[in-house]
Amino acid sequence: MFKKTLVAAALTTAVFSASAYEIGINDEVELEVYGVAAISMVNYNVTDNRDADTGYVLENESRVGFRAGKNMTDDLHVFLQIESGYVGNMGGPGASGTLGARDTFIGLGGDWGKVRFGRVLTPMYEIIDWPFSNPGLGTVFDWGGDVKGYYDRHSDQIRFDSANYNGFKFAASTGRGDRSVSGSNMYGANATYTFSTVTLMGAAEYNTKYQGLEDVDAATYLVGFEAGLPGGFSIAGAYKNVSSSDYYATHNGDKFVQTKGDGSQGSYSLIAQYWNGPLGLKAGYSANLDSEQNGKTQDDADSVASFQVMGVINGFVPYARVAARMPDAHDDTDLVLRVGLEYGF
Amino acid sequence: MLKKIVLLSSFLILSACTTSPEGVSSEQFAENAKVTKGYNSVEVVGEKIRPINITEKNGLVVMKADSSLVLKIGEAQTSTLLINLQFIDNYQRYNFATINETTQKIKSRKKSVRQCDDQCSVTQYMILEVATEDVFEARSKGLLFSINSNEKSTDFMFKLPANYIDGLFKRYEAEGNVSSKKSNIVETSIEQTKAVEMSQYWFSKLDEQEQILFSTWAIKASKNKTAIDEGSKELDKLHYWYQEATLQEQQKLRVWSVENMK
Repeated sequence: MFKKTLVAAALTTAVFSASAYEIGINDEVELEVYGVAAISMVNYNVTDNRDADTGYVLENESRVGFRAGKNMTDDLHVFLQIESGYVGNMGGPGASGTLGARDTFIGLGGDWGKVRFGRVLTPMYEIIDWPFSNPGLGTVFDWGGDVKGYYDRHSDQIRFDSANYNGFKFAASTGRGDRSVSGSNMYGANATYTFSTVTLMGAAEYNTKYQGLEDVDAATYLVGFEAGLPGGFSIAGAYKNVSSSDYYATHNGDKFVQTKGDGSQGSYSLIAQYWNGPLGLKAGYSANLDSEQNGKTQDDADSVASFQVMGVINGFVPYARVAARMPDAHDDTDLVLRVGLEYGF
Repeated sequence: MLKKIVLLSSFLILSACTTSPEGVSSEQFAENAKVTKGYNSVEVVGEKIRPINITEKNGLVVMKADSSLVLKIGEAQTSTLLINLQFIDNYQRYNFATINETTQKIKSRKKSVRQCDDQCSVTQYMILEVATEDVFEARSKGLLFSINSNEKSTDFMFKLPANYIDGLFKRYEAEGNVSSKKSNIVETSIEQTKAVEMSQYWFSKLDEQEQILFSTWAIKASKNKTAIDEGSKELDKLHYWYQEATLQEQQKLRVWSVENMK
């Protein structure tokens, strides 16, 4: 009987692998083409504050990717992913449209979890990105803030993601910071624990010679939660703090610079959402607190409040969002209006 | 269990287009179904449809659900329901299903995928097993099932509509099979070529060890050409007739041989 089971297992593997192909003919490797069609029309200054309205723009964040995988042994799965940047000509990180601009890696997986080598999100940024930078909070909670200290989607990483142990799972990652600078490295981890409809999250990241800056070692931590409530409601909240001693990093124009002294800044994000079947409402508020730079509290807090209406129709997600942005550069509020549609395929 | 596994061989690719079952007649579903006749059973694979979503308005958001029923009638009375479920990421994974008050652990067809743009979503590729008897019972009223995060919860709820299930049974009947009334669901056979007949004959003459040897070799040889180990005269004969069979017959023989070991 045991031997029959072995044969059956072999047969299952043979039959299954010959049946699961998504495209192509029966060759050795399962290959899948996937992507996201995402376009939105946005005006970043509807009320023409400071006579600075430049009109609406179309932002095309569509992209394509490939996934493939094959078992090396019965217990070891090897997989890869190649994903393009945004195909829209918008400029900025991830917008090149070239293959490999977004998560692109080769990995090994099994019952124990998976390890990926290449360009992936850092464990902490994954949580910053979702759920705490949506809807439209990224301008503050993601890439906003004056004192800098963490990476987002980053190359030269080795990232391990554990299996799920009764609701608990974790990820740990290490890699190069700026590959051209000796001693510029990154170390990160996150952990989540889900019980009932509540998820608790924690993450930390430590970077030596952050962004290749010779004297900046930066540490960031984040704590957060997400909780489903009765009646279609859910709430989420997080606090994160960036700090570095002796020298700290800021962003000046299009480059990172270091300044002598201690630097730190806290940020938080609060989100509430309500779903009634396929119709959802989402409200968010995020703020960067005044930073501490070289022993002085700066007047550089900024914030964004956002409200979004969205729906899901057979995989399509149409949405409309209005956001009030209060950047530290000026005292008034820019009203941002965005209407978009996305579809994952 | 073995035979349940074997029906994996019938998995057709979930093609790109998904049909809404509303307003589609059972005859149309019958026409679009694909039929595979095995040695001991018949499989009727329905086209990919969107199951009726009756998930309670509790904050769980179905972005997209596709399903395809693989109806299996014959010796192994276990059909298969393939589901691709995409939902807005909520840090939960759904690995249990309940059909007719019976809960099962869901198998994965492939690894789940998390994808983000403005919203983050998770897609799980699921395999559910359902007794063909239960599918037959649902022919007139549809098949209710739920996809759940644990054995006690009821989370996503769907219904496979009656016209879809009825269409698959109609196709089975139209193929010239006996009435599929529950009591009459019987084994079916196909016309056998001489190569198949002789292969089965010589296989039955092997001892258990050589049967395992042959089955294992046949599976390996289907992927990479390899020579069979030397054995008895019966094994040589079997090898000869197996080579005479067509590729499709060989595939079925591989399944049959595992099912019919001593």
